[in-house]
Formats: sequence, structure tokens, C-alpha cells
Amino acid sequence: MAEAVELAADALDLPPVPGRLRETWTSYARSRGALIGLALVVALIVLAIGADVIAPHPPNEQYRDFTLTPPIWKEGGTSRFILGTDPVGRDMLSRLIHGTRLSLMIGVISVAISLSLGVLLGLLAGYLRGLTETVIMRLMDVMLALPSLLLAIAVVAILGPGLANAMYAIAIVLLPHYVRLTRAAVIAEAGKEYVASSRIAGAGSLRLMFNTILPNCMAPLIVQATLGFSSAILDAAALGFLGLGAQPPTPEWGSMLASALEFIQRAPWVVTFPGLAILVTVLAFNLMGDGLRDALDPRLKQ
Amino acid sequence: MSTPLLEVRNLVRHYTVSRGWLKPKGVVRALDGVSFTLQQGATLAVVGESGCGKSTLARQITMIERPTAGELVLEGQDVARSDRTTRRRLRPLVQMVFQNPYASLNPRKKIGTLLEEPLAINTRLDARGRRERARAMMAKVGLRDEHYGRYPHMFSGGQRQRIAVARALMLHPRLVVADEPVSALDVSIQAQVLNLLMDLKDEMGMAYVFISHNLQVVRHIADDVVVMYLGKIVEHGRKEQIFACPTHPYTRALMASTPALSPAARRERAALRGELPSPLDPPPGCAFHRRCPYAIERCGIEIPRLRPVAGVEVACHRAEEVVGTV
Amino acid sequence: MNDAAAPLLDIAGLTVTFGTGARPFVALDHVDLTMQAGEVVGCVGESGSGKTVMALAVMGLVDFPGRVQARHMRFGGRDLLTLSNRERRTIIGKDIAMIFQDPLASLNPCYTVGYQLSETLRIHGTPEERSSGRVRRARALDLLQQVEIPDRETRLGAYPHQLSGGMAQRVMIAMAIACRPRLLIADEPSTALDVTVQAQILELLLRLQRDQGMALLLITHDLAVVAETARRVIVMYAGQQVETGPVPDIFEHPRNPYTQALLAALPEHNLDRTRLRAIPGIVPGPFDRPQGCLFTPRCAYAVARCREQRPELDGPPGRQSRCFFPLDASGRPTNDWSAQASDLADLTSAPR
Repeated sequence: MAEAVELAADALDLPPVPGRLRETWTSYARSRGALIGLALVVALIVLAIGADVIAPHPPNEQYRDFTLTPPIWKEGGTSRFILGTDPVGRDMLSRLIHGTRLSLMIGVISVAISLSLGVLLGLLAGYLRGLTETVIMRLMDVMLALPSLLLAIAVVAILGPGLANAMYAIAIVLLPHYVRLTRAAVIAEAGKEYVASSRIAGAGSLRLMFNTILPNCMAPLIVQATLGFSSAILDAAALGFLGLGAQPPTPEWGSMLASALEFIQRAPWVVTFPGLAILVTVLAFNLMGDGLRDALDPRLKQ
Repeated sequence: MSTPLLEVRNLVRHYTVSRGWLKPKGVVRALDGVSFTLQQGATLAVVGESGCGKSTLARQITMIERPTAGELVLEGQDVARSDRTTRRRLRPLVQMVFQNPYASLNPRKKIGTLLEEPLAINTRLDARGRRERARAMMAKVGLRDEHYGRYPHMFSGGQRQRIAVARALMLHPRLVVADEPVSALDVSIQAQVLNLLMDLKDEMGMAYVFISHNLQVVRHIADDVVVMYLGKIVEHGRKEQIFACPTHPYTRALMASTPALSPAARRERAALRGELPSPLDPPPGCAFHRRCPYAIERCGIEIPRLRPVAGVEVACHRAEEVVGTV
Repeated sequence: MNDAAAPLLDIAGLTVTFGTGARPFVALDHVDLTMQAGEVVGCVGESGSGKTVMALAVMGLVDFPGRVQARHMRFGGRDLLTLSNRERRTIIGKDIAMIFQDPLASLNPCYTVGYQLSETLRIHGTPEERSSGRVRRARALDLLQQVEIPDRETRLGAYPHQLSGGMAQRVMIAMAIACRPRLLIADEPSTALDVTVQAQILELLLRLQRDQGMALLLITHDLAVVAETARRVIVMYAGQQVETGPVPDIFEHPRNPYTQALLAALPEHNLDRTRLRAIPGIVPGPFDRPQGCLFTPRCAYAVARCREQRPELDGPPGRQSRCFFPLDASGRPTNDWSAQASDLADLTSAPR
């Protein structure tokens, strides 16, 4: 029958198009910087998870006889404390490794809080428009008007110093970026035909927002979340440095920096290594974020 | 004849447009008093160029928007006035197929999910029931089982349009609004999809409101034809009548402008001058009079109403003279 | 067939491939094209046929990873393949001009119409046009008049987004003819426009072509447009030329099964039927090109030889077909095939 011929021939074997995940990976892997970033991030995650096993000493154990020992390659160094010790005799390497766990935890929790709240507000603003949008966006504008660190300090000043409060403060600082990004993406997608198609199929507002539109906004959000990690870690370090974040003896890199400032001439390793740790971590997440953006941006494809 | 499926009476849809801070708001009369009736299982073609209001009409019929005035009676219920619950209840009756096959399918959803979505929203079928219905519909439109788990970007334009048609039919609607469903497709694929639409109509008995600017396609598929210009209907009649003897000068211009393959089929070309007037600032009287070769003084003053002439309904003061000069 | 006068455009064996590696994608496969001065040639094909790629190859607009190769590609006697970039710039935009499908995407949204018209004149115009702003402005107004744009002075200062589709296309045409090109390539110039505007634009193009004596290569998927405007037609399928011939002969007596099937699928050739004579299947993509003739999976008359070997373009000059068994004068195939579907059996009668 003519129709059978027509339809069977039309449903020719679809060419073997790679799945979405593989396609993204191939684009991502094209950039060497992105791969380095990914490798570093994976290494950091491994360090964070296995901190208890990997670190040679407990982070808070003070070795009174070995205060301010230099690193192994300098004169006076010992293989017991490869990176040296700090003014009260705690092993630098172990503190740095445990600090990785702390920093990643700060990053994950701050970004998670900020992202969920930000996406929700952005969805509401972009979908409902009108008064809701105005109120939300002007609030975000107010928050953006304040320099991020000052805002964080203000929040911590209200809530009180401490690691948990520092995380809330950072989450608030990151919030406006996610709201604006989500809102812009939602507005761009909401006018498209597939949304009208779902509406005609009977989808209500909630379904349209979360089920239909949101999945199509994820690409820029993923990139921003990865970059937000590095922001969070930097902000946490800054707060720690100011004494508003993690409190001693927590081995957080920023507070380690703060307590070691006076030794910058005498024992530079106490300051340098935490600084390097921050640098490497932030760099890793930035490289990974850039790689993700290039991989996920449809306009750069082909 | 049974009650008509759709009755549209004096449908009006205006949009207010801001023209700057200090200027008063403009009003775009996208639909300016449209009336027609559609019987069960019939195909009504809506013909017109950009700005004529056909997409706005589609949005009113599919209940995406509420009309500013007028009545939209679907199976006896006036949906223009009814509340949200009634509209939601009536949704499964009217579904839509869009023009752009590359934009009308959610790129993040698998085909199976897309087909099941209308069922998930409107019925109480369990997952297995939905899957069975989706698979059955896929077979009906010529897709294979293994396409169920794929994403839209893996399909060609024609295949996507088949998916869009399948999705529109999942709820067995009585009325399908097809907004330029084949305009973005190649000629050889157009024919496939048109055949599919007609076969499904024969099988499932739904009515079509078929919006198109392509008169050749309209000639093939329509029972009745409505020609729109700047928000109003200018001619309305059976397809055979309209193609045999177009009465309104705009309809004649449309037909004359359509290129034809065989010299015999070509109509005398008097290329239409000028452009569509701005919908914010329509001319007085008949909206077409500034471009019309038959215009007289009356045309610039008095808006013509639809009236029966030579077997069709036409909105033109000089319809009788136009028909006379064939 | 005019071997007395040297052709204006002379292309033989044009091939464009994309991508490196084992199997590059062949977008255009050994296409020949000759055009005389002042001739109107239509190039017809569906998506994936390579017609746009051909235009871009002539213009030198195919970028890496595309590779353009040809036996020869000459314009006005000059070899287009071996031009340096500077030499190419003196020809492209001046002697060969192109207009594209979507005028609003082809005009720079940041500059006014007048500025963009002047830009063309400043680069490619006569010495006076190049030096004097006043002369350029006068010429720009003159061009707008030639393309029948009303309110010329106002439009000169308008931005592209303030123009309708038809107006924008006229501006594009004005820019293209500004330097009096000898060849104008129009890639789907009216597809994105309403049908009444389409008629206006096509009529404008033909009038300009007659007045300025320029050759016009009209690329479109719309067979009817080509039937009304062109003298000669090339039909393309999946990157290959499958038929060439004069209008109206090629439409009344197609020699190639694809041309015949394409004509048969048009609604205007199916007035007496409820179902259209559709072509089954889809155009082969880059990964599923058949070993033999590219049309085999969809051809009603395919036999074993068609599936194994690829046919070459064959036939008298100016009337060629890429098929082992070209259709005869009444549209019947010249091999023994068995009817695969009742639907396609009456393709043997020439389409009305």
C-alpha cells in the first residue's frame, strides 16, 4: 500500500547521533584548560573526602616542640612535617588537606542554598512578570548595589561570627546573580512555541515553570554555579581572614592566613601555602566553569 | 445538521501598545469583528498575509488568550466568557499544530515524554496506559518504536512535524488548529505531512482550522475558505467558489500573485502596489482601499460589511462590478 | 549552448567538502554551471541540495573547515579559484553581488540604511563615489528610487528594524545593484516574504535584470517561481546536479525521476486526487548516503544497477539528466521496473 511504502521509507534508520552527555563531553574535552580544571577539581574532591585518611597528622594537634618548622626542602625541615608547621606547632599539610574539605563544603552549601532560592525567585519573576517581577528585581538591585564583601560582613555582623553564618552570608551575596540569570533565561524561553504547546495541552503554571521551562534554562545556570563555587571560596576566605567566618582552631584557609600574617617575614611558608591553596582551588573551578560554558553554549557549536 | 463544533461571533482582540512615555497608548486591532461557523469534521482554511490576524485568531480558538469582545462558542459553551475551570475542562477539545517544527517540541524532553504529557495532565491513566497510547499514536503517524526514547534534535523537520501532529492528537480533540503546518517543510515532505493530516482526519473525524498563506495547499485541503485582511474577514465561501471566481479584490490579488507552474494556470498579473498599512493606524473606511484597483470614494469613508454576492460572503462595496470584470 | 560568446560564469566540477578526517561531508559534488551575460538561470532544490553552498562557493564565502575545489571556476575570464583575497574583494560585491533570504538578518541592525548603502559605494564605487559624500548620498537616493521605495529621504535615515520585510529586501537589492554587477545571485530572495510582496520583489528583480543587462542566478525551492522567471533551470538533489534544461520543457517533460516526482508532489498537479503523490522517505543526511544513486531509496523506478553504481550527468548539452534510465518524452522510465505502489504508477503520464 502506498502509505506503507511512504511511512516505512520515511522512518529510515536515524543516524547514530551521540547522546547529549557524550556530545557535551566531547565539546568539553576539546579545551586543555578545561580538562586541567576538571582534573584539579577531582583531586580536590578526593582530598576532601579522604582527608582523615590522607592527612599525616590530625589538623588540630599541636606539637610544642616543633613550632614554626620550615618545609622539608629548607634548612631545618623534617620529613615528619613536609610543609612545615604553624606558630603553635600544627602540621601545615594536614591543616591544608582538612581545609580542602571545609572549603568545598562551604562552596557546595552556599551555592546550593543560593541556587535553589535564586532559581525559584528568578522563575517567579520571569514567568509572572508584572508586580512580582518588579518587587523581586528591585530587591536584587539593592543587594547588587552593595559591594559583595561589605554585604557579607553586614550579614555576619547581624547573625554573629561562625562558619555556618558565613555560609548563609555568602549565599545571600551570590543570590542576585542567579535570580537575574534565571529570569533572563525564563523570559527568553517563555515566548517559544513549545511552551505554548504545553499550555494548550493543559499544563498549569506550576508545571509550565518547573517542568517545561526550567530544564531549558539549566545551561547558563550550571556554568554560573561552577563559577559561584570559586566566588564562595574566596568570600569565605575573606570572611575567615577578617575573623568573621570560621573560628580558630578550624583549619580554614582564610583564617589560617589571618593568624599567620605577622610571620610573613620570619616564616613565609605559613602564609604562602594557604594562599596557594586558595589560588589553585579558585583557578580549578574557574577553568572548569569556562570549559562548561564553552561546551554548553549552543551558539559556539559547530 | 447537528450543532456546529465552533461558532465565532464578532470576535475582537485588541492589544494596547505603549508608544513612549508621553504619547497615548496605541491600540492594535489584531482581530476586528470576525465571525464564522465550523461544522464537525470540516476543514476551514484561513488565508492571509502577515498582520491579518490569523495567528491571533489561532490563539483565541485554542484558549491561550481571552478575546477582548465577542463570542467563541465551542460545542455550545461560550469560552470567551467562561471561568478557568470550564476552559480547562474544554481544553482537550481543541489542540494545535505549530508552524516551526524546530521550535514547537521541548528540546529537553524525549519524544515519549512529549507524547504522554497531554495524557499525564488530563487523564488518570497510569504510566503503562500512557505508554501504550503514545506508542499507538506513534505508529499511526509513521514513527517507529525505537524513536520513543530519542530527543527532538535527532529528527528531521518532517519527522518533527509528525511528532507534533501525534502530540496534538493524543487527547482525541474535536478541533485541530494547524498554523502553517507545512510552510517550513520541503515540497516533497509537505506532501507527506498533508497526506498524513488528511488520513488522520478521515480516520478520527476531527475538524481543522488550517491557517496558510499558500493558496495551492489551501486549494487541496480545504472545504471552506476565509480570507483575512488587517483583522477582518474580507471573503468567505466554499473553496470551489472562491477559487473559481474570487470576488474580493484582495483575494484576486492574492491569487494573481501566486506563481504557477503551467502558463495556462497563471492569472493576469497586476502586481499589488504598496504595503500592508500599519495595524496601529489603519486607513479609514475599507482597510484595503489605498491599494485597491477598484476603489472609489465611498471605499475611503464607509467600512464595507460582509454580504452575500455570487455565492460567497464578501466585504466590498463594488463586489458586483469586480465579479463582472473577469 | 552559446559557444560563440564566451560565458560570463564558467564553472566545471565544483566540489565543496566539509570537515577533515576519513569521511568528509560532500556538500556539493562536481557541479557544472555556465551562464551567459544577461541570462536568468534558476537553481531549484530542497534542503540539503547544496544550492546555497554553491552560491557561497562562487562568492568565496566558504570558510574552513569547508574546502572548495573545481576543474575550473571562471568569471569574466578570470579564475576565481586562484584569486588572492585582495583581488577577490575587487570582484565580489562589485561584479558579482548576492542577496540573501532573510533581509532583516542580512542588514546590520546598528547602522542606518543610508550608511550601509554608502558603505558599498565607498568601497566599490566609481572614484567620485568613493571620495564625495554628496555624490554617494545622491546615488543612494537614486538607488532607492530604482527599487521603488517610497519616502526615500526618510528611509535613508531609518534603521533596519524600522523596515518591513519587503522594504528591507528592497534595500538589500539596492545595495547589491549599487555597483552595477554583471551577475546577481539571489538566494531565496522572496521565501520569507508574503505572497503579494514576493510578486513585487520578483518583478523588481526581473526589471532590474532587464534594465541593467545583468545575469541573474535565482536559487529557490519554489518550482513555480522558477517557472515564471527563469530561462534555464538546474535541479539539485543532495549536493548533486540531477537535471538541467530549459523552461518550460524541463517541467513539462522531465527526464529525471526526481524532477518528475517533485513536480508530481505539488498540490497544483494533484487537483484531481484526494491524496497527494508524495515522495516517500527523506533526503539522505551525511551519514546515510547510499552507495549507488542518491535517489534510489525514494525512486519508484530503481533497479539493481541504480543501487550499485552512481550515474553521471548525461545527455545533450543544455538538457542533461543524472540517471541511468532517463525518462522518455512522455515521462515513462526506460528500464523494466515493477510498480512498487499503485500511487506511483500513474507518474508515467506527464504531470499536467
